[in-house]
Amino acid sequence: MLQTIGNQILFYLTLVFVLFIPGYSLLLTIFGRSKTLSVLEKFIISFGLSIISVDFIFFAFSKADIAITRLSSIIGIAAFILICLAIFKFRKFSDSVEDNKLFSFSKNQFILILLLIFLSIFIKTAYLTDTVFPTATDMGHHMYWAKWMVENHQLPTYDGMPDFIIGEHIIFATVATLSGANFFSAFPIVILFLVNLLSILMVFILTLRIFKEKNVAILSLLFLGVLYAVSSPQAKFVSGGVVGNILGNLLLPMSLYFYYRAFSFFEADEKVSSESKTFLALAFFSTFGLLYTHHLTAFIFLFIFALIVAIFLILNFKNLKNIFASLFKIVFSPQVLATLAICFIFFFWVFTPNYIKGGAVDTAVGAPSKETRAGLTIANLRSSIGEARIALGFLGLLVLAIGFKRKNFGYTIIAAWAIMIFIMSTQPNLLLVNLPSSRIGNYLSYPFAILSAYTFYFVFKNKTNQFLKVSFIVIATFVLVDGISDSAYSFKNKEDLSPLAQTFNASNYLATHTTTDDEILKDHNYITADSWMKIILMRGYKYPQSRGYFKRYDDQTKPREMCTLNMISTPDSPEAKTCFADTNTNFIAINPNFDSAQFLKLKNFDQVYSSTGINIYYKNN
Amino acid sequence: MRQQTKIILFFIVLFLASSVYLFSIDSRYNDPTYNKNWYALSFVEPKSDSLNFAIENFSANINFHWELLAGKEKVETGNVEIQTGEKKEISLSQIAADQKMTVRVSSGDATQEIYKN
Repeated sequence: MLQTIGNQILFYLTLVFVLFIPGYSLLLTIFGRSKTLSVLEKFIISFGLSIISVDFIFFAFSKADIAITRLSSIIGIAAFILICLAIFKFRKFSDSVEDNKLFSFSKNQFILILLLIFLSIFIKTAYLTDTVFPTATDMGHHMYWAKWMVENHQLPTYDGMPDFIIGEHIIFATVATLSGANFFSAFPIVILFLVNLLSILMVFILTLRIFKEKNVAILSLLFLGVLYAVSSPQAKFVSGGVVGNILGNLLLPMSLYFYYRAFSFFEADEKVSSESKTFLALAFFSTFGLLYTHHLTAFIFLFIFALIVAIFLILNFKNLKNIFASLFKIVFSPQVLATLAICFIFFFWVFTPNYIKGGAVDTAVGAPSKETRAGLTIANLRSSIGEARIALGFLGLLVLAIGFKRKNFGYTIIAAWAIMIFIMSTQPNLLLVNLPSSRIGNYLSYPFAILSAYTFYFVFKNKTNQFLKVSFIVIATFVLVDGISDSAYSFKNKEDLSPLAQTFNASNYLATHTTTDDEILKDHNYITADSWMKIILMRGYKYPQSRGYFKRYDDQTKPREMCTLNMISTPDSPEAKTCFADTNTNFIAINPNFDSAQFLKLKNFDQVYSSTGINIYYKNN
Repeated sequence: MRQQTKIILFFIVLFLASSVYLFSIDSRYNDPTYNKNWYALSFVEPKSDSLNFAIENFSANINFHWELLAGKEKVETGNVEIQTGEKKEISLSQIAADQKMTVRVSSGDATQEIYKN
């Protein structure tokens, strides 16, 4: 009991040390104790900056061939914190004139914020109660690499596979290294849960800054945090281990926040301040963090950014001379140039993301190669981000357009964010985007939550006519019912956990009764949590071999090897015999309820392990 | 205390409570009290001719009956008691036979088999 409590305390201390203090120290170095950022902003942003800072520390370790151990990790992170604090101590900061009334809430607003945070955490926790167990395929894949990093004391090269990005794994590996947390515990999900909650708070502060209206920000908490709290990309992505999306949904709004703060002077016709330069430096730092964390989010971000620039320049084409003069002053400032130089040095010399080398960019650009990449219909989008939220989101775009002021950089950000993701997910061919449309569509919920919040605020803010208000009260009721029922439908019935326990038991049997000379093949279709078998075996990402989903073997656009299918489905066929000879496969794990009959009659297979959910066969000659 | 500090503290307390709860239930799949319905049967040496086998019990039923069959003929039987969450190995004498050797274990209504050809 005492040990459990001790482990828990160590885990939370590690979270603070890895995920909060580095970012907070960086903010202290940059802003000192000025009020440029509110306390709440500092708290939220510190997590995002910590994730990126810790990534950079380990990239430096990798370049310097320093083994990533518990001691070196502590020294590396502590050194970063101490350097930041030393600069903070000796640097002179100018007094801030920032007025933080924006973050002063009325009593009712304050209570509402607390209530929405409570509901958001409560609903997600209730969902995670039945899904916290290590079953998700994606999570299994990601935790393999995190564990690999812990065991090998270096950054993984991913065997050249471009689909994994280092930033997805460093925080898990670091927390596990420092706290000793078990990958089969709730710790990966707890970290993703924290990041997911912070992404909602990040949207809250971004909305507050852009609209300068507390009620819109509070409503964004409702639309993003409470309604549809479970559906993708919220709690379902947390339990599913969709690491890149969860991290990306924190870093993308954070980058937009910094870009907004950097260029918000356009709105008030102010001159370029040193704070604008600092915010742009942070924006570039965050953008590079995104590039190191998730290629899909980074890819989407670049498209959004391009549209932001295009819309803003088109709307302000009469003022281009002044805009470019201001841009010149900001970009060619010491803080921005230094940040860019550091980021580019890291990107091209210290540690280049493997998807750059692996050609993933080439495969992401081009005509859609599959039906799933040809774009979502509105019906698809409705089920993806919620019927009510999509309706209100479109209405919000219209309202935004009506009240659009060409110099309003914040409105440009929100509009470009929503429009670009909408186009990328529904008409990918227009932009030559060759990525699964549903994955892009999931990103739409963030800007649409903000637009929904703005729509609501717009209707109720003034003395709008009564008919409109009554109509909206009806819609509000529908939204609440739709949003909450969406979560309710997502709750699983109490799951039988014995298949999971059987998978791990069988995996441990294989780990202790086989060696690296043995070749194992397991089935992905009918074995629960099979992707976690590799974390128990730790003999390579593609070990054991896997019979994938049946439809993948029929995919005309991506022909693949057939051995993994034949060796389980038709082990006595000539094709399978050739495969056994070629691959030296001698252990096969299957679900006996679906695949035992074909092995039972074969004399060259012994059934060496049996439980109700898994059989293991040994090829005896 | 400032409003923002209160919001942060409220968030931290809720997150802590939630995550501690999630940690408290995360190993239920390994807890026999939540999975009282299965057991695993396996050969101790899968690659050799040895017929020694092991039973790992994750069910509430602790009484197991086992049989060794050469082809379809029963050659050895026994009973063994295994507590929930425990594993027991049963050693068998080496039998020279050119036929399929099957170990059949039953406990309650559940019967499992493993074999070597």
